[in-house]
Amino acid sequence: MTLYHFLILSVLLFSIGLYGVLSRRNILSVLMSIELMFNAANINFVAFNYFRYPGQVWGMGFAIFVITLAAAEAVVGLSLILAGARHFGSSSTRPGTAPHD
Amino acid sequence: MIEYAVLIALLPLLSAILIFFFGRWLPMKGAWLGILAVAASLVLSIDLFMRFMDGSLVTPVWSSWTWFTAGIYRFEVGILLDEASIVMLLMVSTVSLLVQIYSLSYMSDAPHFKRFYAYLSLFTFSMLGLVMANNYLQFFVGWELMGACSYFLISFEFEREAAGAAGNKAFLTTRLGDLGFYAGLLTIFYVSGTFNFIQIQEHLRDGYISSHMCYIIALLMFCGSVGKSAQFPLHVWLPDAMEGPTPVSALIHAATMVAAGVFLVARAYGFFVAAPDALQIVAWVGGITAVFAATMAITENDIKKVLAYSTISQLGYMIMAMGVLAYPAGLFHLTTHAAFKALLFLAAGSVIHAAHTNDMTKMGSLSKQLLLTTITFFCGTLSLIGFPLTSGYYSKEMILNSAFTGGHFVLFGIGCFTAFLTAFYMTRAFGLTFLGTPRERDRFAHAHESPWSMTLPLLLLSIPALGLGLVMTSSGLVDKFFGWPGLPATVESHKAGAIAVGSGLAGIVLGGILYPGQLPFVGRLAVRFSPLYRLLQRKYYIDELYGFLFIRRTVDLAHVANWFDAYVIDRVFVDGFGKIVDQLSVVKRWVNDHVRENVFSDALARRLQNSLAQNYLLVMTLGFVMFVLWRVF
Amino acid sequence: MDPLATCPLEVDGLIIDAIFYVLAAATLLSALAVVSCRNIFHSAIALSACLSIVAALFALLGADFLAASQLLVYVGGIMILMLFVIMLSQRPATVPLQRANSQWFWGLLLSGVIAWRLLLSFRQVFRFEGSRTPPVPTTIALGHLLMSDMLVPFEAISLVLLAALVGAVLFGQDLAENPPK
Repeated sequence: MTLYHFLILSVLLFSIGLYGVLSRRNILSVLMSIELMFNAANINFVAFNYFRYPGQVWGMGFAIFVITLAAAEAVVGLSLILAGARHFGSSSTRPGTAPHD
Repeated sequence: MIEYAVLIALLPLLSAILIFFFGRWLPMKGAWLGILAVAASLVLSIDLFMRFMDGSLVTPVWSSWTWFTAGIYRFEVGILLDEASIVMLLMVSTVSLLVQIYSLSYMSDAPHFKRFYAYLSLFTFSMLGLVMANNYLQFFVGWELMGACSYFLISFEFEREAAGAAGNKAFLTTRLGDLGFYAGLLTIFYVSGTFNFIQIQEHLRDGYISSHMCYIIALLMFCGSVGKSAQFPLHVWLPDAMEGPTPVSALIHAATMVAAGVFLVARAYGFFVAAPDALQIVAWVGGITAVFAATMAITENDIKKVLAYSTISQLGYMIMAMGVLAYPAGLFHLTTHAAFKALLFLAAGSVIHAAHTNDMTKMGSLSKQLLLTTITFFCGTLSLIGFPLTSGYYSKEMILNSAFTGGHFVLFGIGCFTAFLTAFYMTRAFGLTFLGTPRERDRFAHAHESPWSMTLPLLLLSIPALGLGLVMTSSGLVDKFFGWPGLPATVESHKAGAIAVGSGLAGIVLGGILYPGQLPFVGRLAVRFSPLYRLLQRKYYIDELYGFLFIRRTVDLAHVANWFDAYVIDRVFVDGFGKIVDQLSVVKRWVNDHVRENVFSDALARRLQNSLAQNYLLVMTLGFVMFVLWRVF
Repeated sequence: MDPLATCPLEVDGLIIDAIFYVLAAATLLSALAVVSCRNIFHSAIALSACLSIVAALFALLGADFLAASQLLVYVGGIMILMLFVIMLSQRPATVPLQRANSQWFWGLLLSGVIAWRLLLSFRQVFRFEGSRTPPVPTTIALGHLLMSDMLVPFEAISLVLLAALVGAVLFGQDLAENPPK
């Protein structure tokens, strides 16, 4: 268990999130994928904090901010999705068209 | 110990802020707050004055705080109290207080009443801060703030196009002069490394600044003064500034804005004294302005504009006094002028309030309806003319006397001629407005004396307008307050005094004969000499000249730029790219019609050009990836 | 004796490695499930699992407070919200129809390239870096940090949260049913 291991983990998690953002059909899934990317970044923050600067907590402090921002983003995003679903009748990433195939 | 003096300036600022943000909810829209603050400033100023008089305050005293430091240079904000600034403080806060009280009734119906008081307070703060400044930088800050405030106040009734244009004109014209002032500031800092008045004075005394440099600095400073004090050739903004409400005119043209220009010369007088050539220029600009403005006032029919021209003319006197080494006389005239010009403007405002017009040809015989206003206006007129024993008499006499004894006989002649003209046009204005027969019956019948909050300031101002000069001269206060070390002492010359008084009286007599009794004859005269009359009416066509020389050229340039934009930028670049895209779309359509239909299936096209939101994300990511790869390899 | 010395993370390095590999694998698997499940409801469940496991990873890295807040805010807050929104916004017919869109291949390619590129860089820079140190409690230090050196970002984030709240209320209300007065 070294810094490198955590970096590999966070890179993979980030890529999975990115793939999700680019390819999911439902906008809710896109939001979830974004959360995955946030978590990848958080793992980086904490891992660097732990391995490089033991005894300090700056990395964790930033991770807390990231969590907070993610919460804010999710709240706004979800309310937008709700409004969109009410408006378009679907939460597809292709607005205005009914879900098909 | 004198730090509390800073309150004199800060209280109006505080009231301005409070009125601006909270005035909406305050009773009377917060106007009482502004009046209270200026009243407190006045009390503090009087206190300073008293302490100076009984000797417990030894001038000059100063106190400063570091504003910021840049390298080895320390920039400060501070107060410098010397004789001149104490008198100016007293004068500014008095006039400002009376103007604010006056505005209560005068502006009561105006929209944006709250904003008006906020601006007035801010304006007062700027002038007080400028007067108290102990260095040029702070002086400049107050100076520019005042420029901004004057812009707001002149174009206060911005719904009228003329008011907005007048505000612009005042702002831009004074800004032209400020450019010189700013360059002067930089030069001062370059040669002395400080902005502090006292340090610079020491540098000058010790001869650290060459007379050549002094010449340059003095002229640059004078540029600022010419703009702010409306001297020829930058006088054009002041008559137009009459578009502002009358109390504003009183404030701007009596105590604050235009006075700042003269005060700048006073503050930088060390440079001028060290450069006699610059003094020559100053004297001549002042003299030319004085007579020039006075001639324009003769044919003016707008009561406020007559007063505006007289302001320019009197400022010319002051500048001329500065130029002929009559520093005390210049500042003395500034003080007395503040009193009687504020009085005249406020009285004119009272007339306008009653008659609902600025045009004197529509008035007449108003003395029957507006007794108090007539009396006070008469006091102001006498003082402005320089009728013996009034305030204006002493200060004007002193200037002309200095010019005469200093050997500037041409300037003395100009000054006397101006005095004659001044007496003539003021008699004319008084006659047209208050005497004779009413020319418009309805207007006359509806004119009523203004409420006490307007007449009280008039009465209060009449006292200094009449008596200030006598008091100050007889008690020797003029030399005590307005001394400048090393200037030649004034020598009384009875010949000069007699000529000056004589020319003034001649003007009164001539004016009294013609107005209002001989109006038809005057009308015939105007027709007889119509080219001259029109020349004066059109203000020597200077506005037209500037319009032709500068404004039209600017507009031409704008046309060129517009043409360039429309034909080169838009046609070649914008339309060109549009055409390229057009062509591309033609190609694309061709591909669509011929290639896609026949060669590809629908799927590829849809993949390239779908309405998916994530498509943009994909392209963004692609860009990022390409960037990363490019950076690495 | 310090009670923390008996903390279960102070066991042999081998066991810790084993725990890490298990957790990492579980993270990646659940993340893959998030982006590949057909049913969005399953995706959401997988995401909560993934977030919980990340919390465990935080604990492994000695970030005790962070692990707790991850569980509280993410799993307890955001995920519940998401499930609610899923239930509110999805028409029953569309729920099982979650699939990848037409550009999934390009997305996969690009994420692959980014992952490969980053891994390559990290391999060069951080290959042999890092040594484990015994973790210490961080909550008090974090509290001090947030209230001192990070005070300005802290306040800024508070403002952002407030704005987000207002925005959420604004967007979330049904304008058709309750038109603004």
